Amino acid sequence: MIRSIQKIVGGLLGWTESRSGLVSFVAPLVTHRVPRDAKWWYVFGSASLMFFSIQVVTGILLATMYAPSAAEAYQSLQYIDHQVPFGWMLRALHAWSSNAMILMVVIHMSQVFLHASFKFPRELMWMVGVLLLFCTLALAFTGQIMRWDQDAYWGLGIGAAIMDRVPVIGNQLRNVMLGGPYIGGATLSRFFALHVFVLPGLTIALIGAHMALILKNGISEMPKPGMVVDPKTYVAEYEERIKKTGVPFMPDAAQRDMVFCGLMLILVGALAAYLGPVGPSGVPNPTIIDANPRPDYAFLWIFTALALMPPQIETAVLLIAPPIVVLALLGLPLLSNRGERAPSRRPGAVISYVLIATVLGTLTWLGVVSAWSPVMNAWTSLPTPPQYLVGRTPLEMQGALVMQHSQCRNCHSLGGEGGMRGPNLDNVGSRKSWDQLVRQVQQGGGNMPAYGKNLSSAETTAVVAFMTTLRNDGAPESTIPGAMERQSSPDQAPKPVLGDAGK
Amino acid sequence: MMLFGVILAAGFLGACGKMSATDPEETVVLTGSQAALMNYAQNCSACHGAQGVNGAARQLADANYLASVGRQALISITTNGVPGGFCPGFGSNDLVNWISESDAKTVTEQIDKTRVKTVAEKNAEQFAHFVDGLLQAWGKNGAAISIPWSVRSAPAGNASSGQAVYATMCQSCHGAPGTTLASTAGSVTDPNYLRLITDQGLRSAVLFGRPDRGMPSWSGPFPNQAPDRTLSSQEISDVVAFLRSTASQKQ
Repeated sequence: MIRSIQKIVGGLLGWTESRSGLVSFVAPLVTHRVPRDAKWWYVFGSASLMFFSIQVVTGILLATMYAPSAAEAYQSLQYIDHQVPFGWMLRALHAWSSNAMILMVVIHMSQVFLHASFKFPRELMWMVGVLLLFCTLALAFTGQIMRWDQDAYWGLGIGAAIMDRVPVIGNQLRNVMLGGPYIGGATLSRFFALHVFVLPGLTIALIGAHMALILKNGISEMPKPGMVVDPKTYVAEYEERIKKTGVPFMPDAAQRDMVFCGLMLILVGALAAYLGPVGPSGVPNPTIIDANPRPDYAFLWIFTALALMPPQIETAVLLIAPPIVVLALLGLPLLSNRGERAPSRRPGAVISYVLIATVLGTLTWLGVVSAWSPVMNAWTSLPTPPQYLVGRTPLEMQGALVMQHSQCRNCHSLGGEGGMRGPNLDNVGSRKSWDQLVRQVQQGGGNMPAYGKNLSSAETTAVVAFMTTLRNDGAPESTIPGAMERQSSPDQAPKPVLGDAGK
Repeated sequence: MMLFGVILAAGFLGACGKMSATDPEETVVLTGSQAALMNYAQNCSACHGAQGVNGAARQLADANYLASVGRQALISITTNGVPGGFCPGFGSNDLVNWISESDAKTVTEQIDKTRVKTVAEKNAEQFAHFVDGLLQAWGKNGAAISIPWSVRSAPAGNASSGQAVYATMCQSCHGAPGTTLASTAGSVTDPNYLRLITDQGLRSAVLFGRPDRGMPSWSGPFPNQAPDRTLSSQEISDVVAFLRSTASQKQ
């Protein structure tokens, strides 16, 4: 009985194997030998792949419920979040796993760059990897459009504006991107097609190529100072070393991948459960100027760079920088495909890496913490903190009104409420003297517009009089060392009692 | 693996107690005064204070003030602002249309009449609702003052008699005329102050006082005066005329 079952099963397996060659295809993949010293540094690529798989699975599930039409997208996200059991968790996983995937891809790339694993004979692997990086970023960008909220709208608007700046064909490029001259239903449809069909397909194809190249060339060893890559001898030496000291991928290297992927999975699952889905923020409506749109983390640095860049150089930078970056990344292994691999022998590479990482990190950090947008309704909705009005003279009270009426608090905060665009005014009287305040109000400066033409001298006097009362407890009024004392202008000078003088 | 992740995450979730996804917004029906106070918080609280008191501008949570000025004038001020003052008219921008009981009634009426209202009509209605709500919230038991509050219906003032009124009734807190520094409540004869405030503003300030800041209204009690000493309409006009004259003397 058992023997006959064995015979049938064996026969079936043999039949399948003889026709598909599955085992003879997979077995070498699983058991191919990898360098013994390839330890925890080599887990990031696998983790990227795992997060991509999660994206595929959650993405397919989301696609069953998401309505890719401009009129319904927002509603369908609300439906997924609030009506579908664990629908919000699905969206949360898709969002956080996408962030994690970008992070893993960047870490993986950093490791490959710092260990110079892109050198001979793995140049093509690096190039395919660079293309995968762009696919990942494109997936992230198009995915953010799927939310079809304020962030998506403004993200598209900025993307379209960048396209528009391309000389000669700018308008056509924008029309291709948006499906017309402006953001509408066609825009969402084509970004949906990109996000769901084109880019994932391309990514899967490129991952296939990336993997095939790994098997073809083997993974690189840990770099050792003095172990120089020479295209003439490298392949033979590598194969000999692997034959002597290598270990099979399964289970020696794969088990580390699995442990790391498992930890990452738990982490992202916990993040998703704790932080919930990302967006959608407000409805995409360009007439709502009281919006504070932010791109997702991966693009915050671009957002910050554009915000900080002087307008004169914007077009030049936007059109020249991307091709240079792409060419530099793709061409890197061609420019340097031999020689030392150890970071300690490649100070230039390490310094460039630290520099780039610092710049991108700083720009991202600024994008997270900086308040870019004024609080448009602060002037009517945020009360002047009552403690700042106690014991003030009628003139100073009028100054408090001038401050509200001139919408100062849309950019400046009082008592922690108001815009963060300018410095807070809670103790501005300790920082600036009467004269400095008058100058600042009238002439502006440091991103502040000049109010000299908008305020009468009485209004300026009143608002400055109010501001000089905004001081830390018991701090004296600020004066400039060596400057003239606050002048007793006719408006400010003590007068003789009118009753005596007038009669 | 994926399924495992979801189960695991769900486990985390239960542990964190963050299971409840928020319900879709319920339609909340507010009372007229609640709706008015929400609009007040959005559009007025910056100057008039969070609860209608202790702001830089006039105290609005003052039943006597609201009763004296009256519904019509309040609607007009809300819509068109205070002439010559800082208060902007809100007529050009819609008040936020919080659904209130009175609004709900209006909607039914509208359906009855089967006539679409013009934007101006709708706006006027919104402002009327707003003022009614405010009167409900803060105007209960308010008594209108017999003295006219508006400068238009006030008697003409005489600056020199006003000077005497100022000296007896105002000077102990606001200081002698012309001294802009050093007085407990601060100078009201500071020319800059007088350039920023209208005669109406001065009259309202004297008539209604600032109960939230300890400034007495027309009915006192005034410092160093008999407790039943009050100000008459004529005296208020006089003191306003006097204050105005100190500024014009200077210019």
